[in-house]
Amino acid sequence: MESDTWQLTVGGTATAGALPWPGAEAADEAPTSYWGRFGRRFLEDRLAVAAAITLAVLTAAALLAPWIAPASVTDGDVALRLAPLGTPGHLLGTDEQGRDMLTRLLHGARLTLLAGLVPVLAAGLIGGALGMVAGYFRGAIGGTIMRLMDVFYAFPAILLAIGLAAALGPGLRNAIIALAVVFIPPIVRVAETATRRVVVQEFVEAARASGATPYQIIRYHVAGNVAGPVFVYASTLFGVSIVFAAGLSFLGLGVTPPTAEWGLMLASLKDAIYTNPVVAILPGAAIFVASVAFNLVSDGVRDAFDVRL
Amino acid sequence: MATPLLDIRDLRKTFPVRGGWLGRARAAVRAVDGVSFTVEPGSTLGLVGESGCGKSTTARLVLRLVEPDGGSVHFDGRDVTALSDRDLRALRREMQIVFQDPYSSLNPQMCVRDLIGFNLRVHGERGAAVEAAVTSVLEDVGLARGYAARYPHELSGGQRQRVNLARALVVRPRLLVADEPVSALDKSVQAQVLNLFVDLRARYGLTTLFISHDLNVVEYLSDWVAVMYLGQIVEWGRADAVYARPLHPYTQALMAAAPDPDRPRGQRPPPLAGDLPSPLDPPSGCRFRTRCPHAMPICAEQPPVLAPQAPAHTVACHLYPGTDSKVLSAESETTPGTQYSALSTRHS
Repeated sequence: MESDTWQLTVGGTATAGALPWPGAEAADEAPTSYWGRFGRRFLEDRLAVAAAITLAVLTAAALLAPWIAPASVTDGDVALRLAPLGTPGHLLGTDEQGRDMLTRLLHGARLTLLAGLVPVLAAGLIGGALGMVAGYFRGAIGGTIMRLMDVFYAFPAILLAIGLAAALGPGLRNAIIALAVVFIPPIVRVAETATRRVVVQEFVEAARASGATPYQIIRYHVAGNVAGPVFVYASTLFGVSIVFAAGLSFLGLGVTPPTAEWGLMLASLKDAIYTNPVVAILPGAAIFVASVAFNLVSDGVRDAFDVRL
Repeated sequence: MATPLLDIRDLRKTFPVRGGWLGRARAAVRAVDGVSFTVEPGSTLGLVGESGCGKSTTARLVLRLVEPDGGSVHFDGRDVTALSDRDLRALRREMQIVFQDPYSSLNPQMCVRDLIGFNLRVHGERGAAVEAAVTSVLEDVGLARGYAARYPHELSGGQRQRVNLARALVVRPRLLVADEPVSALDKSVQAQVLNLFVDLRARYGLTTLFISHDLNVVEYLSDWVAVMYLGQIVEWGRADAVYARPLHPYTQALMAAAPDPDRPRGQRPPPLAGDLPSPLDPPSGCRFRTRCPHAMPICAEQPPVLAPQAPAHTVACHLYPGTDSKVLSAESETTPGTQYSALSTRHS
């Protein structure tokens, strides 16, 4: 670049290594991406990291349940019903049919975590997409989507979940579908609001000016910026989803016996609450721990996103 | 006179102000109200005016980022306002824009390489061609190669505007619309970016529509100047002619208000009184009359029209001959225009 065309420059030529303005040497440092900075801030939050580790342990235990569980899930020792904690061979005691509690809890984690994650992830994808379309196009398309979502808002969430699960019939798959449908409307709202905030920024207008199609703009410029708020909101639903799924099973609308699932275990052990309370509350404690861990991770995620330029 | 690359005729845009029963339009802001101008190939038109006068809306209308309510935009003989979405997207390669805000105009999640390359990718270019074009344009805007992997939050305002310029230039456009590209920058950085702009304009053979509220910046860059007030162009002409002898009282007031180190103290004309009237309810007749030191009775009655006063210098003000809209329409109507013509020749 010829320096004589820079009539008012501070001095120097505009080539790599000798740049005519201060701060140019910063290019030598390693660049940090948007998501890189997010990760760094999350790791600074000790409580959230501890909760994330708890979840990782729970997930690992769930995945490895068939190999690490000490006993059979379905066959119990009828002579040894409601054994207390620390019984030889049964570290966490046995349930009302003499089945090993540790085994049942490990296997139950599989279904409970599945019921916590899958509805939220499905609702996040579907709701996020619907919300971005509604927020980007607004007008007739956006209005139709949003008013449709308002219809679902007319019902209390748990009632809607129970109604849908009852209509679809018992079973894990139907419980997951029912929960996903319950979570879609609020996620659509969050995604729509976030999208409206993003599309008024000049970089979206610049993308339009460059000749990008609405799909390209949403895919490359809107989605990433909406993902943050949607992820933050969706992460608060993991705990809710676990509790709802356990609730549906408790009511007989989720998984069916003799499958091990925390909500169902809680239901079948509820009569033993006076005879062996410690064992009876174990599934409830597990639900509590998982749900709190999800919520703490969710808080950490939200804080990590909040610190933005 | 060469065929203009950009030919704007009677462009209009009204924004409804919503409210009241079921969000019905309560009022309408006439943001751009009958703007016409042409830009010849290779030249730069500077569009000046106060904040809120419709400059930025005009920029967006020219590129059809906002749909006009009336008028036409011809780019190289093609009517941009009549193009289908598909044809418009293809044409966007030839007309690019640089925005004012160096912060919100770059997606915080994309690195510089992707931000610039996106503009080529949407036109179907892939792989090494994109990479080569991005590297070359980065060099042209004076950013070291290492910046390709940087994210916007790691760049200064001036560097961000260089990236914006690179993004616009990477597709080798013929028309560049610059919407206050340096207004958000420090004075020292402004000078760097403006010089870069001048340099690249020549090198890329750009035709430019440069929008600014800063008269000094526009004088430095422009071949032609159009002065806008409340959605209308009040004066238009070659930059040297307009700057040497501003005709419209508004232009005169703007120039008096612009800082000029050569002007001795005490010789400052009085600043413009009052605020910009609400575009919701613009004054009748001439829109500038509420702030004009020369306001006459006719100014409240008729809007003046643009009329040539010298070669390549037109003005819309009743102080000058030919600006009386009734005179133009008198061929069809039988309006007596005697009292007006006496007034309109007063200052000529």
